[in-house]
Amino acid sequence: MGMTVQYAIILVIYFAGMLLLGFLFGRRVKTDQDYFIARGKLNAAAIGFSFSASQMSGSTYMGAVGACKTLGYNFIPAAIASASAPWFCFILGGDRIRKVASRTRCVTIADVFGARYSPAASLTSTIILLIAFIPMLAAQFKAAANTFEVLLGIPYWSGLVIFGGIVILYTVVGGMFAVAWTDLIQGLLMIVGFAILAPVAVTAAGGFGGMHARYAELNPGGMTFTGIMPAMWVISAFVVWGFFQLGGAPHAVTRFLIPEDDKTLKRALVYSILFQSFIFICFALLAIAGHVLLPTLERADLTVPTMVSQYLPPIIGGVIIAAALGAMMSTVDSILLIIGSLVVENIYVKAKKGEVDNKKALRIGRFVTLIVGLLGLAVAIKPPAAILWIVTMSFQLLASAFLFPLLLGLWWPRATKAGGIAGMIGGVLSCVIWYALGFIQYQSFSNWIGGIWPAILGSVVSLVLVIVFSLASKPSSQEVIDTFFDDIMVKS
Amino acid sequence: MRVKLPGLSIVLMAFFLIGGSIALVVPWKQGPANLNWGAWIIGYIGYAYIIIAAIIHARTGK
Repeated sequence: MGMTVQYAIILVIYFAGMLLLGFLFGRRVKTDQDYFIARGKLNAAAIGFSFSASQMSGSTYMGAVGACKTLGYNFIPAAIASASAPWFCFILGGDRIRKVASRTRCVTIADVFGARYSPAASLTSTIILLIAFIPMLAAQFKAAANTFEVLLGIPYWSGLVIFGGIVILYTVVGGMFAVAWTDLIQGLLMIVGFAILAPVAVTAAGGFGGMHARYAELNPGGMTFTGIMPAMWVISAFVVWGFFQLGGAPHAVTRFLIPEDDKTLKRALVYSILFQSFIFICFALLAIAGHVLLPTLERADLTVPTMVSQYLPPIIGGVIIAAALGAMMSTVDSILLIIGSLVVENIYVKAKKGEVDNKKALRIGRFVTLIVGLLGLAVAIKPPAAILWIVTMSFQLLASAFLFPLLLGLWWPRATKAGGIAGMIGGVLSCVIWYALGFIQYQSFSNWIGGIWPAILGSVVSLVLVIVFSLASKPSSQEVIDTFFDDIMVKS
Repeated sequence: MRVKLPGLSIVLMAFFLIGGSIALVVPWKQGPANLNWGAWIIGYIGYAYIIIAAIIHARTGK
């Protein structure tokens, strides 16, 4: 039996399992709140793994390993920063968002902005989220279909239909229940896969010391932090990929709306940080070993699949490939749910002034999720250049817009509606302008003036605007202050 | 009861961000296994720091 056939068999079993989970959990969904956030109905492991799986995405196992293979230790600070993201997000945002959500019945992160600042802030954040997420959805579909094309040799179209069909179906049926539990299983598979692949790859590359000696011969600039990239680029990556995820990954931050008690959230943090730390240590080892073992590989993003096919038996390799595709699925399902919830909760329900029956809202939620998924698939057939451009900047755009309006909104009572909205809009605009200036200077969206990432500049501008506009405007009402800053009524 | 900042975690986060950023630009001596000490700390040992810091917060809330 050929390797491709064995991979295909494992993938079929895996995908069938994901669909089965979707249908099983679909029975537990009774209301739109169950569907979008499953409040109080998921355990710590599911929340922790789901946060991590949504935040990491498929690119962690493909494109980012490839970048690290090429840049070596210039990219390693981004790896530990990514692993630290749950630490920053859970502590700086998690418990505050959970408490606010339990008081105001927030379903989306835009609801949190609405409750803290105003309905105008909710609408502003909804628009920014939709602009960033819809193209990202199409890009994830495209990446997954490309992976199918390369690994299994099936046409792009077929990959798109198979991958898109499965992930849309289980998300539409099972909602957050299915999304979180499939994320947990995908995470466990990834741990098993990397636990096998990393030692095999390092041994094949000459052991830990030998591997680094050989890497230094092949790519000496990659042995120090700033041997290839400017120091500001490396420092920006170190700050942005960890701390800035609080604003840049709202589809993962949505998980903080789920738990009803503090203990579950804290246990989820431990699961999440252990999972991500393990993955990113293996990530570093695989990237360095990958360059030693495959120095002439043209497509660096195929480092992990190529090592899998060369060093592992298909039965184990298939599990890793399934988990890598699963990582893409976990990002897609989270984005599908957040777009669906934004459209239903922040546009439809608001337009109806909240007078919508739970079951009707659930039906509309499923219908919108289906339509959004199909729209993403349609766009992914041939994505226009403008969409790929938005995808490139979406994370930095979101981080610029939301990091400080969210952080100060949760911790600084003096932050006001004017400050929140000015911070979001100013952050987005300065991020876009910094991208444009970088493009004018370097003809590239990946090079920025002085190596300073747009998210850094956008967030600094956003921070200044939140503070200045807040101090220059009337304080928020006592009701808002009590809701956000008085913990007496909230279960700890 | 007004909200309390998780003071210890914020100090540990500030040390991670500031100390980590400085560690990226200072010269490091060669360490074991053909790797300099900076790469050891940021690339591998630093994970113990964030894991322990997260566990401290989970256990104490600080």
